[in-house]
Amino acid sequence: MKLLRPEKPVGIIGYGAYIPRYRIKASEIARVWHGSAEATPIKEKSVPGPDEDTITMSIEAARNALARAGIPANQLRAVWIGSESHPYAVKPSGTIVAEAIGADVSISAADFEFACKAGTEAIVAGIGFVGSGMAPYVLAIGMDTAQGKPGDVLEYTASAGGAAFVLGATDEALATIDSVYSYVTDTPDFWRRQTERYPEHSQRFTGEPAYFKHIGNSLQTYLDETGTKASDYNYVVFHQPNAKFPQKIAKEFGFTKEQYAAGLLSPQIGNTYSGAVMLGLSAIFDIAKPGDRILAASFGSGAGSDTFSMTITDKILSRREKAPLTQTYIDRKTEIDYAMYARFLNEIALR
Amino acid sequence: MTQNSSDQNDYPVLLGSAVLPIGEHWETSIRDLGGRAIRLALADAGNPKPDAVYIGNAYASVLSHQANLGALLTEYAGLEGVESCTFEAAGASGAAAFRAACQAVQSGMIDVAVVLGVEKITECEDSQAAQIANLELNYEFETSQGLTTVMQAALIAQNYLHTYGLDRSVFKSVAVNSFLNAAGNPNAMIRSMTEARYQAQGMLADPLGVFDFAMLADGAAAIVLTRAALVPAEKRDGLIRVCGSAGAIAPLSLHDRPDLIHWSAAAQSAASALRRAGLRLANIDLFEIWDGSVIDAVLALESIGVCKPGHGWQVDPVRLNLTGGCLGRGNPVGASGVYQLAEISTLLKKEKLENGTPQKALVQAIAGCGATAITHILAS
Amino acid sequence: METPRHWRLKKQRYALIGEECPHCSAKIFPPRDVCPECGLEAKTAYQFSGKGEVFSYTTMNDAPAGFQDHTPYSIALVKLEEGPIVTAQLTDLGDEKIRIGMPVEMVTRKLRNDGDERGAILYGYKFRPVL
Repeated sequence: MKLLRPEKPVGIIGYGAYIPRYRIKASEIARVWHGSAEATPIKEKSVPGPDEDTITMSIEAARNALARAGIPANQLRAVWIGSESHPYAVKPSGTIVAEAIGADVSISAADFEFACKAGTEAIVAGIGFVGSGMAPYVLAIGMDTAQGKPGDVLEYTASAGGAAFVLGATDEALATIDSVYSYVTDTPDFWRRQTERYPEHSQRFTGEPAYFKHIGNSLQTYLDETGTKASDYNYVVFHQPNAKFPQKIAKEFGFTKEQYAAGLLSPQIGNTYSGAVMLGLSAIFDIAKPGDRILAASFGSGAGSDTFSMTITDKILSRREKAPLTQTYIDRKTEIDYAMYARFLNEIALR
Repeated sequence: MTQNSSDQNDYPVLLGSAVLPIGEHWETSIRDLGGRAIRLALADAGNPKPDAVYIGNAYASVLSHQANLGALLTEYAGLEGVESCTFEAAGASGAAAFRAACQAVQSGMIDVAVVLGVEKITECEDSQAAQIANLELNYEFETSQGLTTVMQAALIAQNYLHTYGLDRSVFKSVAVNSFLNAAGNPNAMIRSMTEARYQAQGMLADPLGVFDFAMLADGAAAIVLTRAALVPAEKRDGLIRVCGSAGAIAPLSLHDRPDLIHWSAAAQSAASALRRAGLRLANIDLFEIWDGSVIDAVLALESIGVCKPGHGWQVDPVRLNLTGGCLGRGNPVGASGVYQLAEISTLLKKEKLENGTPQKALVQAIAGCGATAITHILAS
Repeated sequence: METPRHWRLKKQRYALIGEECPHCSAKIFPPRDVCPECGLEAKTAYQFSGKGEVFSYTTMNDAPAGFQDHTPYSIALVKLEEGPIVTAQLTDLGDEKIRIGMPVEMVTRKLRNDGDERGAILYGYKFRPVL
């Protein structure tokens, strides 16, 4: 038995997105570093404002998730944040977010790190926490202000955003979680050393041996173990470092555009790293109908992939409008040029 | 001052005063500035022996890294043994020290008091000095949000223009009045100004521009006070007397004020000072009103009752800030209150000598955009 | 660095928690010992909704130390729907023009570093145009 299944059924009782307001076009980045002819992996990406970081964005997403969950923050027993851009090297993001949203002091608060799958890692852990009966509610967040070295190919896509999920018992759930599978190997495709500002990546090695192998194995195992196939799901969302990779894996597994389009946000907002699958899920929850089945597969460099599926309940209908929709954040945008972008990201040394 | 003063000879009179030029005293320390002003004022007063030196200063403890100016400056002026300490009320510090001196001499506890206003701004870079001015804001709920004194004035000005449906050009009359009056003041730090130059100014914090704010500068001014009873009767008539004095405060933070554009402290202190002087506004011949920024003057004039609400910028009929105000003179913050009083008393004296007519002046210092107001009524 | 001061203020700053006067029900922000409406003692914590409108505003082109990274920035007096006025920065304006009466909502953002980049990050309320 390879699947991870809790003793008690667990569901998502609230979800909330956050995407910053600012956008930079990939063509603007190309203009500065590569000349205008360069083909770009996405259209544009989100950029955090100068006063935003993983903590502030997590606070807003968490407030949205709590509004949909309809529970007071002091009912939470864990606040877990998955990110590879925690603002502090040492000092938990979770304590600040917990304080800001009004969580009780009797909680577990921790920061998760597993490159781009830190968010789903927090969800998997939360399923265990709730499913074992240890806690009624867990807040699991995947959020990033993604880093990419100026001039590097990652700069086109490294963006900002994420989503928060409140996990709880299925009788309150907007979506029930069926089961989880996690697949992990030691694969150095992308990393950032302790005091380095930008991550390194092993270029073409990040494709086949990393992204495709891990998501592929994770997905295949999940389908085999659950005895399901692509056509059993209404929606699917993959980690989306660019527009191409998730569409390629979708096709390999026989998913159609109708299944993956709703959760594919990277062409419009870029790669939000730990936030990517979380935001894709949030966008799907915004439109899914009761009874719809959703499959999600994350990928984190280093490397690993979590696959899990969910079934939407009718409770989604009354709770969806209690917080801003993912599309509202996508539509709220102000385009900035590279100079302003460099300023926002502290690329201009003032001292 | 007590409200029902039974003895008319209790009132404070000015024996002498001195003001140093306002400006950038690069080569002079706060000790030199303060010491010189004290000695010059005492000399002007005929060198009486002072019992106390009351100092108005706002920023020395930060900008000059210097506390206890009382001991430092008073000893430096050669007055060892004399009582001395500092009064701090931001821009109203000098007026606060003057009011303390009035209380001391009128009560009989002190016979001769020196009031010194001193500020040394140019000890450091301009940005650092400007930052120090923000000490007068609420640190936890204003400064921590990035508010500055300049923005505070701008928030009030914005509310003012919005309330009365005006645009920022109304502030020109107030600024130009002070700048033009300063041209005749040899101790003012002149910023050459024309209407055209005013209109072409850059915006500092919308809706206020760089010329809507007095420039911070170094300065020291001193006044020697005693009570009338101690002056031989034949000499009394030539002296300027303080016939009213009152201070008041309002909420420091703008967000705590029920009304941004009626300054209750300015109104209360002026009304109390007039009442204690037994005068009405109509009895006042000239006004020295605080204009650290143009909106200070506009709202002080309205709150005191000189102008109707919404009309505080119509200053042409008012004999206002005849020596240049803070805008025209330059603003040595904690000293400015003493400059106001010293220069107006000199003017009253001069005008009485010239045309024999006694006049009355209302002199008001304001700190923190209306948070603190101290008003004195001087009479020749 | 001023750790104790900022730590003490975190509830007000992160989440706009003020007070409700137990005597006259006035909502108070920032919290204070004496109710400004009725003059009696106030101590009961109150969570503000964070909704309000711009009462006055200005934009600063010449920032004080600690805020240069954000210049030019705008500050408003925001009238909260519960009554009190708060001094706060406006954020996420994009190309929206500020106007008196503009509806705004509270968000928790980075205010500045406590000292320099080695100091703690100070978070607190700002307001943005309603989403």
